[in-house]
Amino acid sequence: MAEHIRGAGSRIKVSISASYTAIEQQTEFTPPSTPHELIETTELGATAIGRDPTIPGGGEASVSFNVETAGTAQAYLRTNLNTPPAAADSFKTYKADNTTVVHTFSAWITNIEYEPVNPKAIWKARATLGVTGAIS
Amino acid sequence: MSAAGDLAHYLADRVPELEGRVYPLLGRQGEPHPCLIYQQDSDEPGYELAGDAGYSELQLSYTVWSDDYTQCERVLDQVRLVLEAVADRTIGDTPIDVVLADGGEADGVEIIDGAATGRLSKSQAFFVRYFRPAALAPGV
Repeated sequence: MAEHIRGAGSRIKVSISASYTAIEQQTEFTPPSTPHELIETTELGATAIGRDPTIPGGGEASVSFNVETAGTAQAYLRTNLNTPPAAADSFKTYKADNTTVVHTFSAWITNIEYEPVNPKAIWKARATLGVTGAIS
Repeated sequence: MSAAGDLAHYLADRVPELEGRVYPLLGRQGEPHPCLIYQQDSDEPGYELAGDAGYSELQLSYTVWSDDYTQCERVLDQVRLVLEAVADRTIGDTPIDVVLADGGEADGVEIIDGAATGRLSKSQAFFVRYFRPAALAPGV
């Protein structure tokens, strides 16, 4: 039977002091992508345009969550957005069993964007993660 | 009891002109007026990836029926004032987060066999967010 990875129960975690911690109240995440460009390699005298791929990388991941000001991982993301650490943070995505890792990657927190706050809303935000290096 | 039911009991106790006449969906035949009919239009639970987010968002409609239009207006105003004051309070078994009047008021008349009976109504929808029992452990 084909594999179906269930969304409910899946999660993204960030490494805090060598321990992976789930971002609190996460409602949605987008796993990292690995885009790469094609560059032209056409030589003089060629009869067709040649193109080769660059090395992959430079994509983004994101996680949306209900804002929990006291949440350890949410506070960690905010801190590292405002004061980038010496090295990019480590992230993992997990299947719903909370054990099986799907992606492992490093990223910088490049933005935390809040949704508009209105009388009916609860506060929600989305953190954007700029991926660096390989994704495994 | 449901959130809608808890709010109905609360309103029955706090809007004196209703004298307890608060019913779900349908009024009672021969019942004196005014009376308040409530209807749950939707109840949408909040979810996180880990499971239940612990809250639910409810859409409720309230309709006041009376022979007197001014009484319809007056009672519906009282209903709105009572509901908008329940934010951050536990009503019956239901911890309420916020209640907001949602959209405008609407008028109506009772028609039976093609003829107006003289019963008039005024309706208002409300948005309610309430907290549900503690979430279960995330599913695996």
